[in-house]
Amino acid sequence: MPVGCGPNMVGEAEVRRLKTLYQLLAALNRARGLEDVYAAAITSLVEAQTADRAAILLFDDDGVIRFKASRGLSAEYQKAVTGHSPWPQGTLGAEPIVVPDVLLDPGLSPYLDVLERENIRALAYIPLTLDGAVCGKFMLYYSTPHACNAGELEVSQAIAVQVALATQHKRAELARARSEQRLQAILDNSPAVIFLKDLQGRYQLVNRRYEESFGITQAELVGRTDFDVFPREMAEQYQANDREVLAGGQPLMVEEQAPYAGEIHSYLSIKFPLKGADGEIVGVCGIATDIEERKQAEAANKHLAAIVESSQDAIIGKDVRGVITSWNREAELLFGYSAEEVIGKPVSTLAAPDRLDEMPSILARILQGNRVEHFETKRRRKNGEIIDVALTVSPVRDASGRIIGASKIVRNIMGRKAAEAERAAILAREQEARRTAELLNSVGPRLAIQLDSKRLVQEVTDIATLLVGAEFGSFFHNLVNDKGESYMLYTLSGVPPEAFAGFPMPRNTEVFGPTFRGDGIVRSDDITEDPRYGKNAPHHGMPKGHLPVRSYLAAPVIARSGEVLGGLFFGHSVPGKFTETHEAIIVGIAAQAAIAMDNARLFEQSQWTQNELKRSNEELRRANRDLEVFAYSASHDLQEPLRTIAISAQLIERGQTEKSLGDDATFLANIRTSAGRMRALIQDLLAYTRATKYEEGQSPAVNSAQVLTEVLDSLRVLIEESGASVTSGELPDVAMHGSRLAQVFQNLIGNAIKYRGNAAPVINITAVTRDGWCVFSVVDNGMGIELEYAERIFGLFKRLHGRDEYPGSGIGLAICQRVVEQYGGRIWLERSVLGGGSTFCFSVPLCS
Amino acid sequence: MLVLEDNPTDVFVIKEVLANCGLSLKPHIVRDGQEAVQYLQALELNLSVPCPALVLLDLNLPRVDGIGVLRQLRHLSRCSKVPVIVVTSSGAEADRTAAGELGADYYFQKPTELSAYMQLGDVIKTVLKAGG
Repeated sequence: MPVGCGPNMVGEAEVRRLKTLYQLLAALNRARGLEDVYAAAITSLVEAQTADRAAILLFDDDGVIRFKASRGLSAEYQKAVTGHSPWPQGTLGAEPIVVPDVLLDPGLSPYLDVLERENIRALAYIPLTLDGAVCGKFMLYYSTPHACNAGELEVSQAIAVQVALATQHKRAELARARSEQRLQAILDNSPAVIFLKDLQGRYQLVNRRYEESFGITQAELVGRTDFDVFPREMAEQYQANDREVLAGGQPLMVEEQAPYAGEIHSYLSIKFPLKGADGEIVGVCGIATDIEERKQAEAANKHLAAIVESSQDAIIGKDVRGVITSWNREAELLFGYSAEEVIGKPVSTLAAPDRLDEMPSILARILQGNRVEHFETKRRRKNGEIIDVALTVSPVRDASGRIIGASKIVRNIMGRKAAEAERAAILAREQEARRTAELLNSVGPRLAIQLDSKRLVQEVTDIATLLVGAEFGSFFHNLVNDKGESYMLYTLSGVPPEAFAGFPMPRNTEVFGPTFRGDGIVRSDDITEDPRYGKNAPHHGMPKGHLPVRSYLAAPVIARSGEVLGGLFFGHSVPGKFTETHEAIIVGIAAQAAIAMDNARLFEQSQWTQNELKRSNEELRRANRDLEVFAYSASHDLQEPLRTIAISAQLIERGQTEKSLGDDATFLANIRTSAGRMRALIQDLLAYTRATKYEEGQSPAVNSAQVLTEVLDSLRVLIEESGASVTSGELPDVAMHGSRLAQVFQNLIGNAIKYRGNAAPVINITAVTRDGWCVFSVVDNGMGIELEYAERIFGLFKRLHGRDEYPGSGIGLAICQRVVEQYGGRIWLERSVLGGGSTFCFSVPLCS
Repeated sequence: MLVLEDNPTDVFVIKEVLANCGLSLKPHIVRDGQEAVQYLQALELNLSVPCPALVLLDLNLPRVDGIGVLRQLRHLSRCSKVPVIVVTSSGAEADRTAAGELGADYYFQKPTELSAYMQLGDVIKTVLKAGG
């Protein structure tokens, strides 16, 4: 029992204290918040006591006791004593502590300064407890020493209890409010639709998402059912599910349809029974998520999976480590592994033995985010068989873009490879055909330039052998002996000549005959099987040592004239080597060869002719030289004895007179004249042989006027002596050698002067041209010739006059005739009248 | 002196010419080319025989022709420089050239006129005077 201060004061104080308590209780009832509670408490404390200052402190959550309310205390003081409590938090059975005089309490000595400044002389500590445990304190402050009595302490404690209760109450309220807020925040921030229905299906609560999703507020919804909000079928579905939950008392995960933005969305609803505090089910709570996107994604995935599954290509999925994660039906067929066998295994299971490092490098590329496009390689099936495949590998990413694996499409390209091989073969054949055509086209020009027959035929044989793919080819000339056999081997390709030597030439067998007759192409896939073969003695088939011929192809080479020049023959030891194409090729080559050979022949002939010409020219020159030498030496040798005769005769005559000689003088004179005549004859003969000499080379051109001038010049003496006058008309250029023309002019003019009449010779030379010929006329006024002698005068040594009458051997006109005839011309006596002159004409070719 | 000539008529005339020359040259007549060669060979060996003062050479000799003999003469170790007059009926340019190349001192073409023939004497005198 606390000690009080006095009896009257006790009674008064007692009334006051009770009044305070009632006021406190009323105030606490009105209190809305903790501040109100504290304020009420402080007021009560101050009024109930004579304390002029008071404070309430409470332990906070962090265990520090703090001022919650105070009156009459400075902030400074509050700060100084915060945290100071005589009792630790939670102390049980704490009793008030009175300090009648702070100066006398050694425990407060550290605070004396503060207390003094605050003018506090006495204190009282009143514990605030909750459930008996200290949760804070009241403080009463006195500026003078004061010892509280029991009554005071009782009141304080009563106040303390109420305050504690009120505080607790208020704090609980606060906590609950906060908790409620938090819960509501969760509900409203949740992306899921959350709702609560009671046992009758009436909505109690919905969250914001629900409101937004279905366009209805909680206020509108509370108390209503699904049938009020949703289409009938859906509402029925919901109700059915709810009933199931309520019936089973277990949570249910179910898909429900609900309208959303004019569409029907699927929701995944988790519905569970809501149990009250006593465990009784009070309603159904549901949390539903719009899975429409997910469903669509799933549908897409399913669709994708269906595509993958039904794909004609093997599609293999693997993860970043290269482990197989998916395996479609086609992959099963292609590789022979079932999905179960292979999923989870590394993809290297499928590698071909020689390509083991391929897969890691592909994976590496994928992980860098690159695609591998159409990569041709080999893979191994379950049965060990190696197949040709084409791969396309792409990275697979998750929603965040991270690469989580690879998808590989594997195509079996064996068929394609086969097709490719086939195509390549076709292409190769085509190219070969083209090559053949080009070669054929080039054959012509190649052959055309080859004018050497032997080389030409060799080229033909070589080219043809190459083009038809024969092991050996040959060309045989069509030279047949009287027995009708023996074709001459001309050229050979593909084997050395020794292989053909040492056995008889192909006979006129039924196999070879057609070719040499020019009948056409002979082609046999196997000549040893051909009925035409082997019928001829003595060999009855292939002669020993003959090249092994099975495939046989032969074509005649026929010249333009139709003459069979020879035959091309080709052989191969393998049967069936020569096709129709080869036949066509050979026809082409044989034709070209025939032309080329014709040309070569012509060329050779022309060469031959040229050579002949050259040779005959050579001979001509030689003959001319020989003639010259012969003529000269002959004339010299013939003349030498004449000289001796002449000298001898003179020696005899020497020192003799005519008288002493007598008749001998005549004889000696005869000897001399004969010798002289002989000499003249020999010289004329020499001139004549010279005239018959063929001029070498082409006939040159010569200006006949010029030649005439020179001839007249050389006859100057004779002309002067005879008083002759020589005139001429226009004289053209003629295709003669100047010396020859001079010879003719000299002879004719000389004759004209020699066989003059009584008058002085008058000679005129004219020329007429016609049809490429020039006809010269030499007209004189001499003695003339009887026309019956017109021919004779051109004869050798023919003279119309006595030897003594006119000098000359009579060879002149013969020489003229020889000369003119050499140029293809003629000389004749055109006209002559005895005593009335003559006209000699000669024709020579004009210059072209 | 040496006269190489096979025609008797010419030999006669040459003798006449020599006699008319006034030169007391006694001609040694050789009528055959082969004989001439042998003579020259003997001449070469027999040092007691003097070299001829002059050689009259016909080109048209039997067996060995005049050019051959001349060549032989020019290759002797002695008497190779003896003056030579070619006396020939040949007018051939080739003969003239060959004779000239072998150092013939004169090329006399035998005429048909006797009087012209006698001019050989002047030629001999000239050559002997020049060569000597």
